[in-house]
Amino acid sequence: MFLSRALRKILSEKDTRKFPKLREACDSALVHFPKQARPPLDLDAQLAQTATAANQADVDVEIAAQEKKTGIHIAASDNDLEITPASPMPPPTSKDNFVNADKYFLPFQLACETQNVKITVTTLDCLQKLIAYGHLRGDLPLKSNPNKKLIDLIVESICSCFINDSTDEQVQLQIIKALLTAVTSNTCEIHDAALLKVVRTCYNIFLASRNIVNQTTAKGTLTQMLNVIFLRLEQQGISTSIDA
Amino acid sequence: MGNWFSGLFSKLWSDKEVRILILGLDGAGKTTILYRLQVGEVVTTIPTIGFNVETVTYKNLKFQVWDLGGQTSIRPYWRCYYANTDAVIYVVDSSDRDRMSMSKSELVSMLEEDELKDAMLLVFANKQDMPGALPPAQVSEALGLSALKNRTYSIFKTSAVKGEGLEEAMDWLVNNLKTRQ
Ligand SMILES: Nc1nc2c(ncn2[C@@H]2O[C@H](COP(=O)(O)OP(=O)(O)OP(=O)(O)O)[C@@H](O)[C@H]2O)c(=O)[nH]1
Ligand SMILES: [Mg+2]
Ligand SMILES: [Mg+2]
Ligand SMILES: [Mg+2]
Ligand SMILES: [Mg+2]
Repeated sequence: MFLSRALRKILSEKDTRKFPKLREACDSALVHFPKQARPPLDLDAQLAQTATAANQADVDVEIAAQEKKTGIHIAASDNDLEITPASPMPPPTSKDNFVNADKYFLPFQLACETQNVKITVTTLDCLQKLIAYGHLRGDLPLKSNPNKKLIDLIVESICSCFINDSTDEQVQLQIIKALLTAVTSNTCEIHDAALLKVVRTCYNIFLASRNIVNQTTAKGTLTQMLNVIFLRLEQQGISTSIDA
Repeated sequence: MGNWFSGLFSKLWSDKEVRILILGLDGAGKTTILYRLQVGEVVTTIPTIGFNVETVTYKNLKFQVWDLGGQTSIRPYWRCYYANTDAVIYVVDSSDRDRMSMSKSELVSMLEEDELKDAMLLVFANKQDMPGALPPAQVSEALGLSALKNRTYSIFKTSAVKGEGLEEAMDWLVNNLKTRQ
């Protein structure tokens, strides 16, 4: 399952050991998702997988755990490609077991607070994928403050990973990637203060980064975000004037 | 030129990653290819709106592979990512005959960009498993590849879902990175 793979991936980071609260939060979320054998694949997926079926059957579910054991990669037997520790991606069967990740944001929040480069990179990568695939929507009000929504907290967590120009370059890149996905996604809505925070963070990375690829990426991301924001405003304007 | 050579030289002999962009029309199979290369699996994809970026290790070389969205409204942002690119993988859905000319014009305008003048080009004639897929020679002709000047390029027949052709392409890339340094 996508969410549990993400949590296991965070747990499999060596440094996670140093953060007992984070580890606990991952563990207690994972209690809800006991490891299980893969459900039988549908025919299409079987066809798609024939090529690697042999060494793949349980790899998806086990990947994070094995990486933890071996320290590095899971090798594919039938080709020369070295498989690097994989970021969790939804396997072809993921539609069968869709889990809304909104209830399980705490471990991700704690992970962003560690300020540990590896944990943060992994976590931001997972968050971006969960948002892109609609598993994390953030439309529930926060228990601690009903005037805020979970998406505000998600945005704050992501943005808090950028501190200043000495923030790790990979962290910077993962922040940009996650923010662009969050703003352009049709499944989560970012407004007001959170939206401003997103734009400001990308702009700050653009200004502060000493890495040319991060600079140009932040610039491109800002351009795309602002276009999307104005396009939506225009569309809202049209629908309001029709309503009126 | 000198700068580029020495840049690449140091990349191959240090930890610096070779930067690859995967471009092509929407639905061509770019994201599927990225994760085939990275995790060796076929994953569920959704249309890419932002970007994906992953590190792929092949024959002890590290590649930072970027996958951008190919929808019409997103293509204008491709150029924001051209800086420092070593190679472009241009993916074509070989079974999408109706959009070959659109694919060609996007390719042509991409290659005109100054920032990409030293980038190698790998064209993937993808979805070769589909009935009615054009063979690579015809894809090459439809894209006008023979007219390319001052470009190190090659075309490969691939099927991302079957995992075919990707290794040949990566081998070509590695060899050319080495001989050009
Ligand atoms: N039959 C076949 N289908 C493929 C192949 N490669 C990709 N596909 C399918 O084509 C569809 C689109 O693939 P994606 O990888 O999402 O395409 P993309 O180029 O990333 O599309 P955008 O993100 O919108 O630009 C998916 O259903 C893939 O499974 C292939 O080699 N053969
Ligand atoms: Mg797209
Ligand atoms: Mg894509
Ligand atoms: Mg990654
Ligand atoms: Mg195409």
